[in-house]
Amino acid sequence: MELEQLKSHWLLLNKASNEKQPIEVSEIKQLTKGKFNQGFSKMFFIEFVGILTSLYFVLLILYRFSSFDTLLLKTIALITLLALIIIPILRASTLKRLFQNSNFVLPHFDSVKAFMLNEIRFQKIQKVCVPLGFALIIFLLVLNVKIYNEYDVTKSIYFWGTSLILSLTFAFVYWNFIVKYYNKNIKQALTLIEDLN
Amino acid sequence: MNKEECFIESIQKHRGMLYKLSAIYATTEENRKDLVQEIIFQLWKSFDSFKGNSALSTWIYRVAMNVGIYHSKKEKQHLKIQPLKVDFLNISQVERDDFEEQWSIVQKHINELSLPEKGLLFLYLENKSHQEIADIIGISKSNVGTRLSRIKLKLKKNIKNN
Repeated sequence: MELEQLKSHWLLLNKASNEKQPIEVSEIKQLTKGKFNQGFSKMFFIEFVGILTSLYFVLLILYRFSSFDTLLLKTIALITLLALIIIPILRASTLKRLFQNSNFVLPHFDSVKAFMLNEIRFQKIQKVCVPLGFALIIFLLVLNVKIYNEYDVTKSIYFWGTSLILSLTFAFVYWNFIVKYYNKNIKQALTLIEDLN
Repeated sequence: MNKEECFIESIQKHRGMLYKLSAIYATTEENRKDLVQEIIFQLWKSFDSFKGNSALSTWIYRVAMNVGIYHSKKEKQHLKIQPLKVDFLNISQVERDDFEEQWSIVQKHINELSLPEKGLLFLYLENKSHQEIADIIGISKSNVGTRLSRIKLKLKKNIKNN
């Protein structure tokens, strides 16, 4: 099968689609008037839910900060607060950058290059956010137990034992699969940029 | 002819290309429709930036392909060309069967091409001249020839091996 043959069929499709798939003038006019629902993509929806959840925990921790009565709990609460604020801001800003619209009018290769550079930045942030997210889950568990059950779980040997096992399992999965996945994406983007240059 | 009329006429002229491009960068029919709408919306938003330094058609291809990349990423489709079901084009059954059969053979191999290569191949299938491709992509005419030959060889080799 030759590419030329495929091309002739492809061009046939052009003719057919021009004849049989009209775009209504009224539809175009609506779009020119800005009536376009860009909607919430899956990616933005996940981020939005993440931001709302973070906000809830920030308010909860601030409201119940006085109940953290040991230095360890106070430190955990402060680190958690910082992480809950920094992670969503970082992710939202890199995501916004990834989809900023100014690159649409650039020559296609320049647009791909700009997109790939932002993609690399985004993948690097994601790579850092995964272990931070894991640490956050553990920290939130400690804080929530204290808030809702008035119990300092850090005094339990079972908690440290379970946390250690979970952390080791996570570290194994992270270094063997997650890091490799992100590194592969970054490498692909770098190869692409190299190819474009 | 005012700006809006000129724009509508250009879109009508290129609607076939918009639907085919959407079949490459979007998976479901709903996503394809969304992509076509998004392309038209972005084209209108950027319409004032068109200074006439290149042909209007060149500019439309450029913006449409660029929106395509962002759209597929937004839908988490990993920038891969999806199976091209031509049902939505309402062409005859014979044409459809013939095209889909050939497309299914090359589709697998096209997915192995890099993003810039896919863009180049799309323009090649659209029967664009080397000069037009160079203007849309932003590289030299000779570079277009070199890259296209490389892509054709790569595809032929992959298809033969399978």
